[in-house]
Amino acid sequence: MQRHTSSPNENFTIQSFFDALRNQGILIGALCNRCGWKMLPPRPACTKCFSTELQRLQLPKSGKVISFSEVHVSSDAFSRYVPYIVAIADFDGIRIPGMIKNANVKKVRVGALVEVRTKALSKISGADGLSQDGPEYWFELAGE
Amino acid sequence: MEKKKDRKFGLGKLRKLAAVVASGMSKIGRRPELTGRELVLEAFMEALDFTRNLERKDIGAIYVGSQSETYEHQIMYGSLVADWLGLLPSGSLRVEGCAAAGALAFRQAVIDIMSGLHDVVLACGVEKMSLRTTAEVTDALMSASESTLEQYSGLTFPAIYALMATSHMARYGSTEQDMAQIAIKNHENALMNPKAHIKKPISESEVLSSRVVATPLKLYDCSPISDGAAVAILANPEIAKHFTDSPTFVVGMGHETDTIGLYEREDVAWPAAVFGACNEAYKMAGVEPTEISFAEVHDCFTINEILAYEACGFVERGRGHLLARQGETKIGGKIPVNPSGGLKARGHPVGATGLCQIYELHLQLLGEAGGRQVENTKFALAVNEGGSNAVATAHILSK
Ligand SMILES: [Zn+2]
Repeated sequence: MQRHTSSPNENFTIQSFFDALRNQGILIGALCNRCGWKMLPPRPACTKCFSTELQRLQLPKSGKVISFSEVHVSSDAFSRYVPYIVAIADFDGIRIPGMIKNANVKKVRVGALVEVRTKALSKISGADGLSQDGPEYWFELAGE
Repeated sequence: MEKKKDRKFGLGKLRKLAAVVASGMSKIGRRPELTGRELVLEAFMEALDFTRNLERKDIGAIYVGSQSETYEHQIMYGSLVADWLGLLPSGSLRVEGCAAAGALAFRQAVIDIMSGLHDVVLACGVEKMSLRTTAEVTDALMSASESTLEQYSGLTFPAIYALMATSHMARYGSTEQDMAQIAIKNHENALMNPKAHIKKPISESEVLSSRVVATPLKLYDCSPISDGAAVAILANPEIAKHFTDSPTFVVGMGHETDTIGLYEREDVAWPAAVFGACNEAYKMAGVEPTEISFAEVHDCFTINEILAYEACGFVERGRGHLLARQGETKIGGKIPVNPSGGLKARGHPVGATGLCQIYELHLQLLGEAGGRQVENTKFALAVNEGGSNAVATAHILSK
């Protein structure tokens, strides 16, 4: 039972985001009970009003591309994926960056609908974070 | 712009925050023969030539902007520079703010002078990058983006600026050709800068057909990987004439912060911190954007110069590309921007860049910029930013 305290709310840490991603295949954020501010990844206190009375927020299923780019030159960690597409997408007012996978860049547009995929949901085994399989969540064009 | 009555400083009369009594800059480029500390020495020795009666022991504090310890495996850049320049035991400090490190070091020096803590302060910026591969540099720069989601999703720095560009193009109709004009102009200007990294004119078709880095940005939309250093010696305005007949003065400055993640911003194509920093500087100096004679802005990628036009108030929001299209920012145009060649062609030794800009302002205001001299200079603006415009500074200098 988490009550309003003056210390950070430990249920809404970056670690809780990755735990939910790995164990449940979902992207979670925090919704402030006092002022309604939404944060993803979650933060242990509301950035706007500093309340620690927070509830879990789950990202809506589909979002809209705000902007995108196809990356051709990258760091050693990502060189194996080039060219790859990155985007910022808006999910009902929550914006997150991510790769768009399994898409032809010619079909990607500002305003295009995307859905979040995660490793847990797509049942890719042996997920070992970035070093093996790339990010554990990504976007795909809706309806593809 | 804010109304005059809201101005905290100025009161109709220019307030001199600090004097720049000297500035120096190393040659920018691939400098395999020199380490970072030696590049600072090269810049410092040029600066000393601007002054008289200045002894190294007069320097009360040393601030050194440096982006990353990755390149030379070296932190403690404050001590390193103080030692190599023979400035012991004056206090020193490394300043970090990605590509804004240089201007942040300069700002700290101004604050020291304003507070009366010191009468003479040295601001330095340096980066020795060319020892590393492009992939290594890409990684070192990536550490300036948000780690949990942006770095994790493979958003390189060019990709982050590409996201700004895609959004600007989709909403305002800017084009890859517009961005190419920035590269062409800055390459042209650098031809007249003997210390520039790149001295090679380029055509629009060369820019447009250059290798894709992160769509829509191509190789010629990106600033190069450079080695270099720059310094400024600042003094209390009351005693500036003791050190030189021709000081320049800092008359306004601003400093603002934005979210570290680009994704958190309401508008990914609007550099709010740059806008805020510029407004703060304009207000402090009591000048309007139209009174600026020329500017050095942060064209790490061509799109960012377009965004800077808007945030500096040279043109309305969403119309920066039109200023580029009409050629208004060339030397001789309505508002010359980056007469030095900018980050794009003078070069971008990341931690040094903010002070390379101050060096250009100082030279131009003194009428010593040679073939790239802007005529009738009065107020000059330098805009430096770090991260994806996540921290920004503005400085206005005047004679
Ligand atoms: Zn709140």
